[in-house]
Amino acid sequence: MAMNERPPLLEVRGLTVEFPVGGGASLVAVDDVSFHVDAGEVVGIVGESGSGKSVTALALMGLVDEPGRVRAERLVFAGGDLQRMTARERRSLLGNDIAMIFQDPMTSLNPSFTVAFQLMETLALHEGGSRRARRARALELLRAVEIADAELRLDAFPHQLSGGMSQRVMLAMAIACSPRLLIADEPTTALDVTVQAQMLALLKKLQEERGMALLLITHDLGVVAEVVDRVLVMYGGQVVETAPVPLAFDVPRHPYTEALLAALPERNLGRRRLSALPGIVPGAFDRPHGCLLSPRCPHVQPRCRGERPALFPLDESRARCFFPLPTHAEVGLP
Amino acid sequence: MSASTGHGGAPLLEARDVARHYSVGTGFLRPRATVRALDGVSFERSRGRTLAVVGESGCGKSTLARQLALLETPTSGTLRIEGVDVAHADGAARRALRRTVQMVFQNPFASLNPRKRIGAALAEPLAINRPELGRAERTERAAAMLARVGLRPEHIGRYPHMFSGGQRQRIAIARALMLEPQIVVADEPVSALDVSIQAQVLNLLMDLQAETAVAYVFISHNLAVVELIADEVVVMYLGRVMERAPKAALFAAPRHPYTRALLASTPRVGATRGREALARAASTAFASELASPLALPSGCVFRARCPHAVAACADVRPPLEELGGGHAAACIRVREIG
Repeated sequence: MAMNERPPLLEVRGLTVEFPVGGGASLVAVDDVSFHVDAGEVVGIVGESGSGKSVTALALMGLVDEPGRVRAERLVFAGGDLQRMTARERRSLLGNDIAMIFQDPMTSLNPSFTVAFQLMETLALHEGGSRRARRARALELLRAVEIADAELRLDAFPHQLSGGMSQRVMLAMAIACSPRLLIADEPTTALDVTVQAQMLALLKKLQEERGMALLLITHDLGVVAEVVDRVLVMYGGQVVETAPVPLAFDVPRHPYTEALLAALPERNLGRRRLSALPGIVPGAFDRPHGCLLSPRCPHVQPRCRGERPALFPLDESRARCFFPLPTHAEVGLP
Repeated sequence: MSASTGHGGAPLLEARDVARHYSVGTGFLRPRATVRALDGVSFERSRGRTLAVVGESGCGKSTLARQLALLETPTSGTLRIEGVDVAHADGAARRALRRTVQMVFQNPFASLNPRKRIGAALAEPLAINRPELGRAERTERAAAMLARVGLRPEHIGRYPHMFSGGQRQRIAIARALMLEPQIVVADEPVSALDVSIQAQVLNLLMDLQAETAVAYVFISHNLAVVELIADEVVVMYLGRVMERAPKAALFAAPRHPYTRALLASTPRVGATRGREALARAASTAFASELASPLALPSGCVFRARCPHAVAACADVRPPLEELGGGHAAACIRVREIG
């Protein structure tokens, strides 16, 4: 946000991803999503299952398979229009300038080859060099991701690594070509908390050292609070709120963000009941006409049921709500 | 521990040095090795209370759940349920105990038979354990239980795939409660659920406990959930108990270095913590990852990752030392590190 005069590294406007479900109908997985990521910025996308956060990432990577349909008004990375690129141009962008790591490191590595082989294969594809040079680079990368006993791990097979180590190898592969944007889809969800803390600290350190932008996709609000500069909250395929991070959690403006925070166990200590939104996320066939949250929203008004709200700009945030929640100042709090 | 005795004098659940070892192959023509998945675990539990067992992968919490739910028998030590020693119970006694202890599993997509209607899944425990009840009575009880966990009567004829994850977990809880058990062992019951659904299911568990005085053994890796739902907490690491304490004492003043590291590592939304906390957690926590359960270190199993470890930690296995107020920790330096 600080570099308003410079164009953002990634600009997404009106991104929509649909999957036909038969009978001419389609499931709208991502619904008119717009956001940007500046160079060196950490942006988080948070949402529950089915909110469209992972499909958004896959669409950016060009990994949405047939019969899925991706449309966007603008999809621009570092000045290049992703939608106008040839498949070959886009492929070379991926891995070089944009890299991605996934939730499950155990299934992301090929079980039949050693760590060194897989890292060297990536390096051969993107920067070439002799076998010896690539092996040295692979070792350097393993050290960069702080794997203990890096020399020993080079010749290990994936099944000999723990979950945390596998995720570090994935990260080593992702940063091999010094990407300008790293997309991390639930990178710590499969890891234990102590390993998660190490992994998040490592991601943050690499991001800062390399001036890399990070798009972190997670369901965990705690992870967002500790790592991210700016967050997008998604619900039912739409961005419902976007705000800088301490603010988004201190003063949520959208009722869904408020409800997510209120449902956290740590905000309900000493109470007999947790605050919980009734009902579940709308599915493909029961998307409400009005605001997607209207059937579950505690603050719902008649207008919300008839009309879809836009993502309205507020002071420092944006919220997709006709009746955004008041700021602290508005209710007389410090 | 006098407060934890149940109605009949004996504690509802009593574990004394319970161990469960598995023999595993290590490769072709290599000797078999022993995994000490559970190594000397002791605790007591009374009616209507919640004991939380926390720890990371490989700490033995699910192995403990399998012993408590009578799915396996401990290798050594004594496990008593309502005063009955599980290891020496015969077939009829074990069947009776199974009515006392029921289980809820982590993954509601795997724990329900996809080819069985919900009504049949709920009535099955009754058909097996309460054969004196007629079919009509069983169906009626299944319908009543469905209503209690917040599902609608028409759901009784549906199949599991027609439900969301949260609804399936409600069904799994309903099935566990069909036999009116004294104890429900819940192994990560909310970890597969989204935050808002997790809150609904936790509310349900707490409401059911208030109504039926069922005791929970709540197994979780999520300290925030544990802090909300537990009365007492056991922290495990590589098959051993590191710390045991009433909830308030554990979260206000954790004594074992592992518990402290675990608390510091948990990301939270809130003013008291922030980005610095993350760096602190990663540094105070651990240089290395979990040791292999096949080759446990001598002495304290946590010493390789412990910031307070000294040479003496390798010599003896630290006993679980009582510190007063029901608080106990297995660390030889517990009084020095404050």
